Amino acid sequence: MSTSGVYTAIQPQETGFDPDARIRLEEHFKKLIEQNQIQSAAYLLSSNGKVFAKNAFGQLKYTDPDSVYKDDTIRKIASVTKLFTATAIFQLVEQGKLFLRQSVSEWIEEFKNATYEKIQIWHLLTHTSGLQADPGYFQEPYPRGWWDMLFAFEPETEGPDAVTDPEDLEKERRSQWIRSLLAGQPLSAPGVEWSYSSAGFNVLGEIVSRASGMPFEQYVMEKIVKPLGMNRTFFEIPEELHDEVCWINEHEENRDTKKHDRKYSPQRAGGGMNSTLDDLYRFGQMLLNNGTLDGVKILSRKSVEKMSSNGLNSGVEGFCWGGRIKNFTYGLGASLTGHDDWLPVGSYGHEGAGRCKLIVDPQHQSVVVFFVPSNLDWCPGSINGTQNIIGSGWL
Amino acid sequence: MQDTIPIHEGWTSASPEEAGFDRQNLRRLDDHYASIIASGTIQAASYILARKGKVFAHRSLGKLRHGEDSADMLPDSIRKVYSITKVFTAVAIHQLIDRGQIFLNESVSRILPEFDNDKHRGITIFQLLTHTSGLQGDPGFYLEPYGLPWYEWMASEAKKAYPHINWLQVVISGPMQRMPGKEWIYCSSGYAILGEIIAKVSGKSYEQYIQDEILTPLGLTNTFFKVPEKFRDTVCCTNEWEKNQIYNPRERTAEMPNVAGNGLYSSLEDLWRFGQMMLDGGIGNGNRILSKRSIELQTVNHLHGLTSRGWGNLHTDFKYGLGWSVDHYDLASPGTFSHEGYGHCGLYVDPVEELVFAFLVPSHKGFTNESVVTPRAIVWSGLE
Repeated sequence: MSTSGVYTAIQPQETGFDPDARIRLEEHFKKLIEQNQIQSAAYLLSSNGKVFAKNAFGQLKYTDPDSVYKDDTIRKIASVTKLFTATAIFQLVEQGKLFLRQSVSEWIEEFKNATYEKIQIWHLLTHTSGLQADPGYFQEPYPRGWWDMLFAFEPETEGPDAVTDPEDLEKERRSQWIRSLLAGQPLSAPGVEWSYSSAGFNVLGEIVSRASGMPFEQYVMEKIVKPLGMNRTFFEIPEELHDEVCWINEHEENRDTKKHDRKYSPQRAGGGMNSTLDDLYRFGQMLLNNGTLDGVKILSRKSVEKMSSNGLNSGVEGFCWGGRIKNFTYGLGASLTGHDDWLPVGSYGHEGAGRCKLIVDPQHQSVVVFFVPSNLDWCPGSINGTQNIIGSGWL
Repeated sequence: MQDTIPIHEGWTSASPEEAGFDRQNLRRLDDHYASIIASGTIQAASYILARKGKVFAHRSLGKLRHGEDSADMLPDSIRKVYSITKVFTAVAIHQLIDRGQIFLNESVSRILPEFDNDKHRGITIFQLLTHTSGLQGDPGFYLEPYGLPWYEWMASEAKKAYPHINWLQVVISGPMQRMPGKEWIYCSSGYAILGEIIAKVSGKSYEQYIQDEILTPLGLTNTFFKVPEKFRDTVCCTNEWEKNQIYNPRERTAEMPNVAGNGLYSSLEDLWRFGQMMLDGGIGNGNRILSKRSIELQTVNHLHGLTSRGWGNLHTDFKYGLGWSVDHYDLASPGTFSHEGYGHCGLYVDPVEELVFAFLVPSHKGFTNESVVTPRAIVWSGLE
């Protein structure tokens, strides 16, 4: 079922990675596909700036059993987008346009009140702002998102309370998602609890737009994606490439093919990019190189260090989908590998729904990228299992 | 420009002297209400006072409606009493307990399967009555800058987006505000849940149950969920939205949340009768509505060491009865129990003074100290 065949640019002995582990990894993916836990799988491993393993298996389109997932297939990366958002924030920090301990209320006036004014930019990066967590984070039986409350924040256009001034009306429409996101009470005071919040990253995206003077998605493409030569990475996948995109259900297909009016929607800073093994590898290698790739400087070394080391005080707890973690650690944007993981401490990255993962491993000077598209709500074998096999391969 | 506002007097069955009440205080009360009507704080005021079962004051002043050339508010005018509905719901719940059909400390999940999950199984009937379930509170409870929509609106919008969903799931959607039993958080949707329990257990709609088991036996002939056409012109309201609800009431279906938290219209006399029933140990109009025991339990504090951070306050040992507030405010006796309603209105019962005080102070401003707190002081300081 493999597509491009075994890809080895350098000998396994040079990498310090056990060739048996790579075989185990591929068997693992094939088994998950056979068991219908995942539709397909693709992975890339690098060492010291060279890709030494890359392969892809399984079906490209859920509608066509004969379609083939290739190693340059485009796939949604979901929350891995958050690493790009964090990168944008750090670029702006370096330029002095904003700072980590800055109150969000200095950028977004809806935060200018006793309830929200203490939230600072770094709280949003570390998921400790107290803003609403992603639906399902608390394992609540009836999840809902801020988009379910949008209806309550539409400006009146009729009746005695109608907003008649066109500028005011436009302002209310543009802030509708923000007020909806802030509705009710925060989960906690800032800095106290870890609650995974894509909503918080939507707010970061808005801050990037306002601080840079250009829409967030445009900023990311111009200042990060294009300079890194990530030519198959997009928020909106061009139609001519739709045949090279992996979809696992109708919802995903509609997301890319149907027209969506995003005029008053937040920019997709919490999740929304699409990419490939090679492109994510380039981004990861940039981080591994402390911010520069092929002579292009995206970030300073100090920004990469901050993004990838713990930014939380001790005693921060996180419900964490039932994990109930007592002393949470998290980077300023990046998820940090735990002490009991098969990948070494010091490695960091992000997972994405759908699923996929990007891991930067400084100890082994390695970048790990894998896609394991799956319709299952819960498929730990495809993420934890995959990570463990990769971690077990280092000699 | 009026120099004096006409005062309308309704029926009474005793004089203030016979009731042991200083008549001067009634004059002070009327003068006070008249002055805050003139200043625009309230649109109208009406009240009924009874001692030892005898009504000694029953008056109204101000306007029935918000427009020009409105008729006067009369002592028997009808008004939506909003959250006072909650004590009717509480009485219904206690009737079912009296009858052995439910009990106070049981999990709601036994009756409503939507609660049968790890997050909601810990919620009990007691907690819903005392606002300690930990479910999200009413918009504005924390003076938050952006209130969530009211649960009825949330339910109707959710149904459009997710047709298979039922309103109970919407009401308990999202994470809990707190774990059950930890904090006092005023929660009207909790009363909608109690209304659903009443319906499920009795086999009737909530509205029908209240009509059959409370309104009819107690003779409350001016209390309605939906005001009949012939009475609609006697209903007091303060804005177009309220007016529309009177004349174009929404048809309720089983798919919509019930109105057990805020849906009743009533009159001063009916509120007095209801309060008097509580004072008289559960009997009214020749019928037993409730047991003496359930009244004893409803009207005492059941909370210990709970925090309330509502409406800008911080209470570290908040007290509440089973549906009834047990706050005895400024001059009222300890043992006083009460409930107020939006718009604003209130029903107070002071068992030590054998006093029942019900009032309506319709105003688009809602609660004000002048219209609620000052009259209370005038009333209690008139007791001889």
